Amino acid sequence: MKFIAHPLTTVISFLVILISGEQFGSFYIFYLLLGLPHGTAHSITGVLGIAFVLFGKVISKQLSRNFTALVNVIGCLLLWSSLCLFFFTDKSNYNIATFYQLLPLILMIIFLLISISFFVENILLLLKHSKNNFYKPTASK
Amino acid sequence: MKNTLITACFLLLIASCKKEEITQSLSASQTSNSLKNSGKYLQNVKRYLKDSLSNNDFASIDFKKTIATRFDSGKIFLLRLQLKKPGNEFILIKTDSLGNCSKGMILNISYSNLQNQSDLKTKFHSFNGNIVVSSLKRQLIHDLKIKNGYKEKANMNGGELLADDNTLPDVTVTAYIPAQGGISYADWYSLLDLYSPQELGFTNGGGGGYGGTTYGYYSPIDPYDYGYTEYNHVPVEDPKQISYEDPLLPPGISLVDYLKCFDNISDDGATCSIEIFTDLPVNGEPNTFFDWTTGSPGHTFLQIKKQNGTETVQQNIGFYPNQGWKTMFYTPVGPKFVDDAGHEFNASLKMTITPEQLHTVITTMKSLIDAPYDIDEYNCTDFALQVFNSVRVGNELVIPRYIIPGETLGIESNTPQGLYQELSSMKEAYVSEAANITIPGVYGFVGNSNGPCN
Repeated sequence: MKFIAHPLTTVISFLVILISGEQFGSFYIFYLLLGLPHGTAHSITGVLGIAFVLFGKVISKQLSRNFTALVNVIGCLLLWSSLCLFFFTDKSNYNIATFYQLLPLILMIIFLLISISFFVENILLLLKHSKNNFYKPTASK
Repeated sequence: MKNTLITACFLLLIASCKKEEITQSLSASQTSNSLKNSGKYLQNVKRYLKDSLSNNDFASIDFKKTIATRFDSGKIFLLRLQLKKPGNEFILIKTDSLGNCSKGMILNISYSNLQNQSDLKTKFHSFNGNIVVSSLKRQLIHDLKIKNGYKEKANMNGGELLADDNTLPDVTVTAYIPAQGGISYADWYSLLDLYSPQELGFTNGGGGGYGGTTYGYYSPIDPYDYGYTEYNHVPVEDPKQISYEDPLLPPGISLVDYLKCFDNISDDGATCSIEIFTDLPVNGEPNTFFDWTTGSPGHTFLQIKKQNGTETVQQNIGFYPNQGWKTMFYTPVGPKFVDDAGHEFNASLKMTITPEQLHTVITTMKSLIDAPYDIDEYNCTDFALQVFNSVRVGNELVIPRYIIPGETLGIESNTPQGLYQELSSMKEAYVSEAANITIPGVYGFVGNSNGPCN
């Protein structure tokens, strides 16, 4: 479970989502990089999401669990937003074959399962420590 | 358990996000002729109407503006008679071929405002207004408020003709390019909303606004633009079958079946043409290789037409990979052909060809049925150019080639952008073919395809 809900697993599964367009397809990382210089919404939210999740991983040892969990939750929401923006703002349904072809669909489901586990784990952490402050407690004298 | 439940709910949410937008294409051509014994037919109709209508309504019928829509192989007609009144008001009666009438009604169609009337020419499903259906004695049957082409359920009356779950719009606007050229716009309304499928001779239930169907029979709201002005003459039209295709996945077609349709028209005296179309990834940006929001590289496709007298066959064919994701390594993948009817385009070049040249085109296309698709070495533009140039020996259309993003071996590719740039520069240079180059303001849509023939 810890491996599945790991930040790195979440990010990797996000980047390797396979997009299948009418004439062209690639891993989602390609579309993120393609749109980033042009400031497309899905690229910005996707990159921000990755940054949040990785930031959560880096700070997990320095800051409290609550803060890390909050960062992870925001990161996960941004990853989902990126995909929603990519697929649902495109009125031409150019990449909708992603949901109809086996391999792209499997990779999409894998990402969703991993990211949902990651999200739920962090939500539970937040709920469990909701009364704690967001800073790492100092050792009592 | 909790996690499983959340996962299931989320997946359900994703699955329910199916887009509702539907596209349509006209799949039946209009065949206009007139009723046999129009005079006698109209006499019977007049007798019925005189008995059924008020004197005022009967006096206001414009018998020069009549049109009959033919059903059930000419056994049933829906006759429409325009009233000389402001707005669009007409009588619709079901008749047999002799003019024996039943189930007449008066329809009044009004737009919500002038803005809406002009929107219809540019937007799909944008009809907003009312369709009031009354009996011939002016008793209200339905007052249908139409919003974006669909009935608003709150204002329904007399529900037996109304579906609970509309999958087809009751009124739609279809832009199409008729075989004779030029772009036409028309508003249509569903005939099966006013009469049940059985009344019009459909034994299988038909379509027309009923949930779960894939097509409907439509008729123009204003059919009199065709110039029917003779007295005692009832022109006949066939209903337009509007197919609703699921646009989510363009289905592959059998190229052989599509090309077979050209054999149904005699070569003697036939005029043929081939037109190459380019659709830029981003309209107005001929130097952009991808639509950055979708990853679309644009598209190039062909329209082939053969006409002999009143018979016309037109097919729009595009070359695609069978699965888009397989192109990611820039290696050859399996192909598929798609009917590109109604596809958007930004520029085109049309060439008139002889029937013999059409055979060359068909032979070339058939020889490419198994050609692998390769995004950088043999894509939709390569296919279209190869077929197009098969009848331009010595005068091949050559376009600028570019290295597409993601290509690491430095291979230059034919692209829709290159084709657009070439056509654009040919047009600006007033070359001999400039008149055959179409560059619509921003973008246009190609016409319908005939579909497969067996």
